[in-house]
Amino acid sequence: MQLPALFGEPVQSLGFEEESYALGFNWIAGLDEVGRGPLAGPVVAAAVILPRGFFSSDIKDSKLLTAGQREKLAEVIREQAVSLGIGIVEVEEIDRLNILKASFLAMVKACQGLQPAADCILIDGNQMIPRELFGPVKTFGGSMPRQKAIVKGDQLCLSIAAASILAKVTRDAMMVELDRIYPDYGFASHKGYGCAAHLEALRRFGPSPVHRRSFQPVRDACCESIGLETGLLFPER
Amino acid sequence: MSKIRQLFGKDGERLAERYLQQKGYKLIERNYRCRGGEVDLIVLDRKVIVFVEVKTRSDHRFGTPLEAVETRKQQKMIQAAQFFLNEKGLHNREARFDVVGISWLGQKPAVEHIENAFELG
Repeated sequence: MQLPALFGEPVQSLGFEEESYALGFNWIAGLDEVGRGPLAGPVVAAAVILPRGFFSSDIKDSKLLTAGQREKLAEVIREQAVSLGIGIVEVEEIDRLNILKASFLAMVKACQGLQPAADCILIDGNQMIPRELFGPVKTFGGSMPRQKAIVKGDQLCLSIAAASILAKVTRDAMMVELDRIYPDYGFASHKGYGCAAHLEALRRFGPSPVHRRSFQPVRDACCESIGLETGLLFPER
Repeated sequence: MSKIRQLFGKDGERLAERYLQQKGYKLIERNYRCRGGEVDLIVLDRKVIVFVEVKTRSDHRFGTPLEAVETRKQQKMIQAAQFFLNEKGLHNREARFDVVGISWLGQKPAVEHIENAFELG
């Protein structure tokens, strides 16, 4: 058994996958989502089923990798995966649902893209997807998949790390695309996160069509444009 | 759905918003709803509050987008506008109603914008 290094990043292992195989599950998917925090752009989830026993020490939490490393690893994952699914929930829906529900929905969509359907889902974090979001059970091969939430899953579980890389690469590419259409905000560099330059552009130009108007800093920018006190415009949300 | 339509949103509303923003308008709210009324977009043309109806058509068989904003829809917009202005204490601000029409002719969107498309009440 490989022990986690005392210093530095935690070591990936296949422990969670093997535990699930031992319980009799056959199609075990890692699931992660990216884009809960940004003020603009979609929330993106990825689900990945890796071949049993597949291991790569390069695949780790997407946040520990450079953009270039992520791109290369995404290629490896796409080649090696038994199956993968991407789920995208757009800004309009984020504003309508709220970001938590929207990110769960993205996860469900990612799972629905898997062929074969996963019978066991390993999810990053401490929350499981509410069952009602899964919709008709038949889209999942006749039964609800087992869900297991793993805190720091993107660092501890290879399938989740792989999903985190795919989700991140997919969303980043979308933000670069959105930057071409809405060039005033710097989406290509900050990917929609609320850094100082982004907030400044938001104040100057107001929100773009792809800003999340259910998010406080975006609402504040709207208020400022129209000349209302912050918080007065859409307090009901 | 083609890529360009995906990027601009299913209903072309993002396209309408981008068009207005490029004209220098600021986006305030979309799909504003209240009892008795709704309005697709609320934007700001300098100081003027503009309530916008977005109309999308994929062809002109049933009339152009601008002909499609019929009276009942206008009434609903006016209701929503009045509610919005009162609720936010903005009733003494200048406001107007515009219509933005999006036509999809094949892959190419065409945008038409009519300022002061109709009058209040």
